[in-house]
Amino acid sequence: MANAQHERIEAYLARLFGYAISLANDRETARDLVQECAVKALSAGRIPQDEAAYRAWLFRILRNAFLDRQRRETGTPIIDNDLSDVEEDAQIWRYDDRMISVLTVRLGLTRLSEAHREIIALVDFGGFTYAEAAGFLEIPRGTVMSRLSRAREALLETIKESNVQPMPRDERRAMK
Amino acid sequence: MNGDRQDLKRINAYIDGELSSAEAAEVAGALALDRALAERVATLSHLKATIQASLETPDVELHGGGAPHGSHLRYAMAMVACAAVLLLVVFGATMAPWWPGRHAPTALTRAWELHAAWTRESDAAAPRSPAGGAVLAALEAVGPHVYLPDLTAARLTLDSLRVVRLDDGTKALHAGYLGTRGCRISLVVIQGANDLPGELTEFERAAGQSYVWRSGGHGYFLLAEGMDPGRFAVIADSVYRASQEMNPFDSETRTALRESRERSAPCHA
Repeated sequence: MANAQHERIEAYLARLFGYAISLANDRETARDLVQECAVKALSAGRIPQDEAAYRAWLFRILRNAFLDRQRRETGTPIIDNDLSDVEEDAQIWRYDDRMISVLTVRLGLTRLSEAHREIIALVDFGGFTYAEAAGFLEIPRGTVMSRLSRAREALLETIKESNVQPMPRDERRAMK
Repeated sequence: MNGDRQDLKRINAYIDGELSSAEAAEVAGALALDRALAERVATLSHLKATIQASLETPDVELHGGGAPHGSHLRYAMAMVACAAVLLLVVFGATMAPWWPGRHAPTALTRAWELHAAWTRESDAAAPRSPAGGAVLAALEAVGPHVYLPDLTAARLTLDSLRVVRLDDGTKALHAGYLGTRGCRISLVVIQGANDLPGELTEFERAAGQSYVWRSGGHGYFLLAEGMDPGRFAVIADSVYRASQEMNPFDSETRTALRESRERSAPCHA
């Protein structure tokens, strides 16, 4: 029985880790959150049998663990769920797909707002449908759509940005 | 469809499989007529696939009874990896005198100059991570088969990337990594550098420790000041092996990097 529960949660560890990183924006904290989530899930008395409910349950445990940690550290949870979803003119972009790689995506995600990271994590890491994500975050489905659309655009923008700096002239001279 | 906000939402919903069959057919029809729209869908699909491919499994212990799991095996393998690194360091210290370049290669001095320039700047500026585009542009500028490690498992964050043309016309890539306890590591990759040894070789000087090697037609210089030598050896061995294979660190290596940090003292540069 314990082995079955281990195997069941192991199948979600990578997705939970991705979601935890989206919340904490720090790998070590994220690892601790997944650890805490796994311990709580494995010691729980009632476990959802339905797979979608089980996934949402795990993500909820992890999110609550994150909010608890924030309360302990700052006094109040500071998860940014009040992100404005005001409509703006969309930009048409032409994008070089070669810029998109695992490395650039990971770097890009760290530069997004918490709400943008979280919506991407729920849908793309967690496999949540829009309706499931809306229920999880307690926001309308239309907000999920617009937030996700914005989040992906923002991620593409961060990937596209470049800040390679040339070496200052005097330092180049010093290298000779 | 003309690329406005509503269209973007529909396109995202399309690649997420969130549209009804009638709506999806409408989008598919529009894609067939609009090349720019089709490119946008391709980009977003590629982005989604890459996000999903970026998932990695953390090294966590699953408590709560039951048989031991893979994490115990991973821990044991990490210990073996650490032992191998220590052996390598001992072996390197013993064998290195036979390498003709035991006298530090000239390019090592240049690498330390780049490290010093970055250190001065990072003292004066807030930490920042290069954008993804900068990473790719820098790698492409130096040439194919340049390996840039992700050292977050060692809690070292990429802070700065620079491409520099050296006096002899070759290009060098400097990557500066910042830790959370005062550690600074530089990785300098120089085109060519044919006088370097193929194997991992350690050099020490007053300014700090360094490891050099050659891989994929490039010379690699890993530099640190005031870092625990055991931890630096684990990092150097990990980057050395990964640069040979051009692969990200596996879970055993990440565990070894994390644990070597936990065992070590903060840096005292």
